[in-house]
Amino acid sequence: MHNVDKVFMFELKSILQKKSVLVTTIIIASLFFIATFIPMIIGFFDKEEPISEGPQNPSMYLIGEAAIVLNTSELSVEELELFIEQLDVFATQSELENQIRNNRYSIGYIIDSPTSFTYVVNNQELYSYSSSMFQSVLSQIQVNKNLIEQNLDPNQVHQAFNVQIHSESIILGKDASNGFLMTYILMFAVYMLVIMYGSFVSTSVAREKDNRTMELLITSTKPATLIVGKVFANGVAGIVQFGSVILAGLLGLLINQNSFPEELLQMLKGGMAWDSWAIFLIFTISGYLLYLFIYASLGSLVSKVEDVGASVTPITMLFIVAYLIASIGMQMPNGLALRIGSYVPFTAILAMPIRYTLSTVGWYELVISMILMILATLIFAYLSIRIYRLGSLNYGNKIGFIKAIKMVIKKENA
Amino acid sequence: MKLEIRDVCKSFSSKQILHNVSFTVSSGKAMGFLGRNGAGKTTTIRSLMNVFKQDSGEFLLDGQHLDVTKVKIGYLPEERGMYSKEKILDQLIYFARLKGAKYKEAKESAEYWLKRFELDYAKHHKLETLSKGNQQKVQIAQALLNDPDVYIFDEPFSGLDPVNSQVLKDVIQEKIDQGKLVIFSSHQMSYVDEFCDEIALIDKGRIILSGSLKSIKEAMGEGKVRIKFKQMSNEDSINWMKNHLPQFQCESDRQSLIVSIIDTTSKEFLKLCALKDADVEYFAPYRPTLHDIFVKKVGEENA
Repeated sequence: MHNVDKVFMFELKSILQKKSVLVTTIIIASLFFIATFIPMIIGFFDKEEPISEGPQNPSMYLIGEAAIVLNTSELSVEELELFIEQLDVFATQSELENQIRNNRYSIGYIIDSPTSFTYVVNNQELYSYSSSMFQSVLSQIQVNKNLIEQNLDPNQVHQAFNVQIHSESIILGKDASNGFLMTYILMFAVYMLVIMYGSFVSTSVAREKDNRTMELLITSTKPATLIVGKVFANGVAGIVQFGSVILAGLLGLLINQNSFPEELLQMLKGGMAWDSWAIFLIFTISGYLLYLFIYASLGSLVSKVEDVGASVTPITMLFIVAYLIASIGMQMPNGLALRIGSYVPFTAILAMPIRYTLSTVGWYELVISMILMILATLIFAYLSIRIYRLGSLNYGNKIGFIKAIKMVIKKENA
Repeated sequence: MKLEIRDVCKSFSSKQILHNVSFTVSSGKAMGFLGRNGAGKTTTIRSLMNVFKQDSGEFLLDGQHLDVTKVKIGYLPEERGMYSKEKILDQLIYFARLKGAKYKEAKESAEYWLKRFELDYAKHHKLETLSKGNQQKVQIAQALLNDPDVYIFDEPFSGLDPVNSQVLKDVIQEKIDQGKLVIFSSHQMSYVDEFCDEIALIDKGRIILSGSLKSIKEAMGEGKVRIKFKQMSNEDSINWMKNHLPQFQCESDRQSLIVSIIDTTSKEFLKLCALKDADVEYFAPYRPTLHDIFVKKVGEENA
């Protein structure tokens, strides 16, 4: 393994000197940096706008604008205007429909009685609250009428119902809402890191087979040296690239921190404690290496660069499953999926740091998961070295990963 | 140094490729490992380089098991390949360092061989920007880095033009003169005939001939002479022989007649020619070319 440093430096240099890597990093880092100026730019334009006087009694309005056809005499326009800021009344349904077709209004209401209406819309959106808001308006008018009939003052009744309850919470464990944003950003970064650099490392190995450099390499040094050097170089290159992007974002954030809403800054700054960061780093680095070793060995099992995609699909799918478990688990940090996922090394890379940040994890759980993760990384690193040696000069048919493992085990036992 | 390849057998998917391959190579002598395409040359060399392990047999260097990681070996594989998108000098330094050289030595060695092959102008170019022949020279330079003790070239002449072939021949001869151990495989007999001291001929995974090329040529040329008559075509010469010396069987190649003189000496034969008033332009003992030896031996094996 004494040549690992040479392989590492050569590979790292060749990755970081690639124009595509340099340009991508600069573009993404610049975008992140520029993005942090957005609140400041918005704030700058907001100041220029004149402050509107607003309605006289804004608290009463439930709807800003509405187009209606009133087919009942039991309800008056004046009653509706108490709750609708801008009310346009049309005589017939067809007139209203024409206005909507011509995009003058997005929605219209045909009121048949004080308690029933039909709404007309050009295109129905998936989530639309207009109809329920109008329903509230009619309901409110009717409730007020009923209260007056009973000789009750609607304002007094509303006041009686309007009770403000003050509450405070004491969180003994962790507040999931605090770390949510930062955890989500980190989970996505790790996802991109593994997918991108996994693909890089497998392509790099396959290219050495494709351009026949492999025979020179394995007669110059040991396969273990080659794969370890390559995996670490790709690993570090990934961290350098992502680190640059994160640094650019942080720098921008530092410059523009006064423009950001206080709540957002709190979510970013106070999201994760130092122990969460440590857990995140341990599991990410270990899991990242685990995946990179597997990706590298899969690259050695194909003869041509164009076959890499098909070869790495199973491991990519597995990682996507890990990502899905983690993202679903973020909503329910104590759920069964995230609990199980935080023990399985292939999913623990994302699941355990998320669970640890958003929920309470016993130290023994952490230790077990960590041991399993490190063991799996070591076992798969060893298997990957053997598979790399096996696949490195196999230029025939593609060997599957499972078949390759069986061949390695058979060879070991022979 | 003496390298012994002893009873090496190798099978792939239950098909035996090498059958007890044995031959010996000594320092200071050019060793040509010859055979047709698919005869087993590359498999033997890859087993020797520990690219894959032979099923049985051994490789001994001066009587000891050959450990390729402990001996300085310059290896040019048959499957040529280097990093096409890396700068030439950078990757030569990398390969030299992987083989144990310090950075400074690696750089000096890489620069020396690039200059020797007239490629120093391209040292900072990417390999893919060079012509195929020049890429081949970079790959040969890779095998020469760090002044190895043993050189193994698998089909070094394939893809080289006559000028570059001569450059390579000169380098190989230089290494042989320095007392290095050199093996090269080839199926292009004319390239290696001139400077091979020893040969091992492999066919269908079996060594069918090995030893000193001079002795082999002498043995295979015994009882035959070359003769050329002045101002006579080969066809006329054969007719002349049939008319005047019909007891001798003869054939011709592009140079001259080749006459079998089994029951007489060359001196007696020349006397008989003189008696018949033949005007002899050229007379010499017949020594078959490597090509002739190859065709004859492989033909015999396949008969």
